[in-house]
Amino acid sequence: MSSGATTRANPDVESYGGKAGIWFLVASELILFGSLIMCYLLMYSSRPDWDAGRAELVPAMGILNTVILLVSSWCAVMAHAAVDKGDLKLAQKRLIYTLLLAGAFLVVKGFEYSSKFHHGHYPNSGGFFTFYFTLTGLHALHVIVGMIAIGGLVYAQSVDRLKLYPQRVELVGIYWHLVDVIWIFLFPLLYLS
Amino acid sequence: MPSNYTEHEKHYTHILWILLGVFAISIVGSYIGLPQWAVQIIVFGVALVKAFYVIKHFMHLPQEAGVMIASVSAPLILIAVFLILIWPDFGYVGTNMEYLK
Repeated sequence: MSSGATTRANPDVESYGGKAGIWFLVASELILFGSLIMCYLLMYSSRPDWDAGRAELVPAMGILNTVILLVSSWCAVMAHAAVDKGDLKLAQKRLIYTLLLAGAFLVVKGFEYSSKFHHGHYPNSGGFFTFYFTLTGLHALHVIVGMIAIGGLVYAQSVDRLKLYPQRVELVGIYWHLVDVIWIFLFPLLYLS
Repeated sequence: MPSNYTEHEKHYTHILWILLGVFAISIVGSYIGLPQWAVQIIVFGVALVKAFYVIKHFMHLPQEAGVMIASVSAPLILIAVFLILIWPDFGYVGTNMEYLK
């Protein structure tokens, strides 16, 4: 028997391996975003002219997106709780809510981007807006990856396969909470301070 | 809160309300005309509190094996060291690009 089959047959082993993988991913993401944020702080602290760029952001949109991500994070952990009590249908329902909220986040971000483009601010404009588009764009990319992963779990339940690997709801949830944690720091950094 | 919620579900819902509450504090704090340094302490302090709650209660990091906690702690420590090391450059490098050459 191949080692892959052995691993698949033991949910505990798969769960541990999956958890190690997802936490190593979290660690690498922390380095990626941590470095970018440090670069932003280093440049911003000596560029008073960047305040003019920041003043053009609409904090209401950032506030709305923060609430959306916090609630979506709650939906994801509630899906995990539903798996714990053996109700995969309920878990699927809560994952769909998470997915819808992730979509809402991207719609708000899309409105924000279109407003910036309308005012002539692009990723290659230089200064504040280059950092703004890099940080938020990279974060939005992570939101899209999370949506694909959550969509995969929703689909798995719809074809009755989620019961084979229910622990993946927790793993995808950990990734989704990471997306939330990153935004928790990006929001005050770009919109409030 | 629905009565059929388990203890875990009630706990997660409670944490959500805490997160929304402290978030509201940071919004109010940034709009009541405080000095910028005070606003920065409030908004980044609240961000740290929110991140702590999400990592502890939603991601369950403290319940993971030591190697996983270490794998996440190491980059956080490195970022903190990085921040301390570049602190003297804050307010200087941006307007003195030749300094980087």
